[in-house]
Amino acid sequence: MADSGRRALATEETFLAAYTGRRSRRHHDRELLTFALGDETYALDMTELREISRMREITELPRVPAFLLGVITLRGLVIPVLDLRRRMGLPPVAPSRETRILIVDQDGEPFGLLVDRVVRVERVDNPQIESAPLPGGVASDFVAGVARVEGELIVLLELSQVVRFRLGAGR
Amino acid sequence: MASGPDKALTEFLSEAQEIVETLGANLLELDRERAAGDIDPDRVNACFRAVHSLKGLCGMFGLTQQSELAHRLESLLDAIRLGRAEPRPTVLDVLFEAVELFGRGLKAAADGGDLDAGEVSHYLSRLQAATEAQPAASGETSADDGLGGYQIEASLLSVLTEYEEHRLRESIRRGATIFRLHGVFDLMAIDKGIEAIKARVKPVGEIITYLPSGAASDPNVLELDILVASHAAQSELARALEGIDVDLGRVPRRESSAPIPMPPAEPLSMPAAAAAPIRAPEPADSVADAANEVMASLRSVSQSVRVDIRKLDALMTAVGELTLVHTGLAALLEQLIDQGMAEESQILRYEVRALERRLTELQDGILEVRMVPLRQVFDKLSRVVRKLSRSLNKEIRLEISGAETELDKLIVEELSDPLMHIIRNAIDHGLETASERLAAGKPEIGTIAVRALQQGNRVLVSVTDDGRGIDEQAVARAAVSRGLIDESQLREMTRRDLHNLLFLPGMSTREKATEISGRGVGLDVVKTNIANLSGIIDVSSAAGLGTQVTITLPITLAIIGALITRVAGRTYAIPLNAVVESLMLEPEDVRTIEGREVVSLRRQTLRLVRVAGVFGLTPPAEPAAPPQVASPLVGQSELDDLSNDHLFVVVVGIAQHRVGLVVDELVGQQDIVIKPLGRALSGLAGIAGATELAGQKTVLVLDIPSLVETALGRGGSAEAA
Amino acid sequence: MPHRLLLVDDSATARAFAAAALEDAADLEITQAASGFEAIRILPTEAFDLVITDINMPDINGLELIRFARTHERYQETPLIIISTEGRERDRDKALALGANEYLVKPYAADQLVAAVRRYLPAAQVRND
Repeated sequence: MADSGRRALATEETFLAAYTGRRSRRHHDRELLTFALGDETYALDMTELREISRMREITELPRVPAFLLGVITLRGLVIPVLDLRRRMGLPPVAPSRETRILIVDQDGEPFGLLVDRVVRVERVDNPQIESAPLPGGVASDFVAGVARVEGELIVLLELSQVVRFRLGAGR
Repeated sequence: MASGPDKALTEFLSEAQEIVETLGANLLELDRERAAGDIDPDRVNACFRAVHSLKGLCGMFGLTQQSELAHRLESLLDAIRLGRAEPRPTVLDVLFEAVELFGRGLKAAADGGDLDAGEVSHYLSRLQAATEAQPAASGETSADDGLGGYQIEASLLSVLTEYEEHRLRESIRRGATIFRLHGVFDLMAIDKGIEAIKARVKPVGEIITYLPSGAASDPNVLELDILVASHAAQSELARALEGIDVDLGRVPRRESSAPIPMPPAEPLSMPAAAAAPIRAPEPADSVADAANEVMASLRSVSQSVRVDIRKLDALMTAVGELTLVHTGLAALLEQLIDQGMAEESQILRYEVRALERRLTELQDGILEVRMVPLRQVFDKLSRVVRKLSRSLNKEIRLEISGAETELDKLIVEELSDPLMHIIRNAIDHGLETASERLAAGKPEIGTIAVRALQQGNRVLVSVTDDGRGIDEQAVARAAVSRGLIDESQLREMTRRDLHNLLFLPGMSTREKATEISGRGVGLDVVKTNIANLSGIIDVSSAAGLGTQVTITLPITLAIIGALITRVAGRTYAIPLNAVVESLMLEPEDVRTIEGREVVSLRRQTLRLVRVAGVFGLTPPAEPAAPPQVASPLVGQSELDDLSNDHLFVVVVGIAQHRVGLVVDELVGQQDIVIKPLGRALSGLAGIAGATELAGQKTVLVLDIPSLVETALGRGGSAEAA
Repeated sequence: MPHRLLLVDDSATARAFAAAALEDAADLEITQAASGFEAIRILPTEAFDLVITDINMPDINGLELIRFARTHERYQETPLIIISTEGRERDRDKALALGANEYLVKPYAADQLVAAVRRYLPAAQVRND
């Protein structure tokens, strides 16, 4: 997706700058990290994001659902990585140079979300979040709502649902 | 670092907890002593000091309820130690309750709360009732001051606390002789010197007090007088003190019992004439030597340090990281050698080896620090058994062995609930009533034996009762009626399988939950808890004879040795503490019996588990790259030719069960740090955690107990490809 | 030159509490001893300006410590404060008779401790808030 007229592609550096930059917000501001799965733009609240990691080797886990790609070790922690495309019902694609793993925090537990591209960090004033009808094929449990930012439709994820899954039937 | 007040609170909670634990242990001992008719006054005093300290501490931190509780307990224990009350069973019962109350109170304090006022006052009225029924104190108030004519100078009496005075008078009343020891101690070694004397005197007498003299001419020494009360003759006391450099003398005593006046403090001086002549200060070496002899059997409390276990965790992580660095260096070393620089890298090799040795020492040191004896859990169990025994009116004998066995502190804490549950089950369901037992020809008193035993890298904790055993038919019926298994599965089950049905959720062979064993849901939770500790639980039983529950636990959780293996192109680590041996076999060696693959090993049948089958792994499409795990440095490496003809089997064992894991390749041995998988992945069967190998490669660690269980318990179901 | 205080109590918490109460002192250096023995070992080797000790300690109790200090040439005039427990008046009286300057009763409030220290070491600038 073309980025003409907008700020540069977000890299770890710009992300860090945004995150450590002016932390003071007006109370109805939200800082979102936007990223792409295919042609669609999605977003997560910055407060849920720990860091962005480049693609790396993911150790697979035995007998788990297809969307659970496996685990990586980051800073001494073992983090499960989900294929966000598969999770959202989209067909998987091979990773590219722009593929990233978003390390998110849900209730103190870390998770990794594999995404095609990170777009940017967006500060949105008083975003109007609607639960508008979604582009076809996207699972609705995982969506908190849809926002229109500078004319573009951004799907805001409901992280707690995205990372909620249960494994196996015990031993 | 925590600020002043926070640090004080943390310190308080830690110290208070230790005091409560010690109080509990002392009360147990006191109970035994009372039953044996031989109560040690030091024991009662220790209990008194414990609640006394608690009172002060709770008061300082505004815990009014617990402070009040401690205050009342202190009065009671003071009365007991001053001979004004007796530690009868009913009184001890109430005291034990206090220990539980404090346990809860401290937990509340950690969250900024306190005990509930109603609960405390309810308890206090029970305490009152128990102590009210005491016979009038038997202490006679004699006409004289109770010193029996001993010429103890006022200056000495003026430094005795009320308790010490009481002990002195009490000893005199009981006909003991009062001796005085005088010694000169090296100021720096004084702790050892005192411990040595304590150890020698305790068997033959009681130390009343220590009196330092301030008038030492030599600033490096301290002169001490020690008052001892003893029923032994002076010669016996002298024999006990042989080798220790002290003067022993008897405190002079007037024959008539004229009371000794107690004037106010006078210029302080020790009457030199009465005691044995004071020798010039000699080097205290002989005292230190004697002390060293005795030191081995003593544990000086002041030499131990309380450590927050989180600090230990941080240290362990740091050591883990260091281990990785070491592995990286070793790999570099290998590379250098490969590039033909073996000679130049001699020094590096030397240093790397030295680093490895130091790391191992460091690791062992930290792991040792985390170890605590099981005693604290066993003491708690003793209290529970005691309480249950009285409330159920079932006399129970509790045998404990191996309380000194040590485990990682976290494991010991986690064991408390499961063991409690198992014992409750044994008491409630296992042991019969006295009349039932007699009718069955068994001794009236049921026995529960709790044993802990260390075997290599594992500790086995077992609870055995001589009760009625598990009613397999009842268990089977209950399981079927609850839909947990069906008839056809039932027919295929071995006795062991039947026993293990008890661990399924929803099993409870009693219709109603009793107050004692709770809702009856629990054995499945117990099993899960044990599994979370990487342990395994096993039940065996014989009808009419009893039941034994055995828990097998790894000694430490953190750094372990592992065997690195490859299966279908993936790499897995197997904890070495579960590995018995590794074998290379031919495919022809494998036979199939009743749908299960086995091999013969030294005339025994070994069941095989194909790891690839368990995990549903298919080999990768492209030929796998040659395994490049960091080169191993410890132990033998079994890098074999990658011929597909051979079968590599890793024989693993838990307790006495053996299973052979079939893998594609054995890569080598290595120390690893197991990291937990996290909450989300905790339901993953067969995997205990993950570890990071050199080269940022994350590798899964196999959960041997569950793989063994699967292989042995449920038959071949786990192996469906 | 800082004023030096010796805190003697076999309870680590009690010492931590006292130290925390006095931590704002501008000119006060606090040393802790966990037993009468430690105190006896340390007193002759350093010069303390004030000693605060618990009475009820095992082996060498606070009374013996006070007597030891008062017969030591360096500490004959040094202020000594004892911490006693409620209901133990006899022990308290003995301590005063042996030469202790004053007593505090456990459990005591932090400001009582602070006030006492200020009385004997006014120059230590212990803040009271």
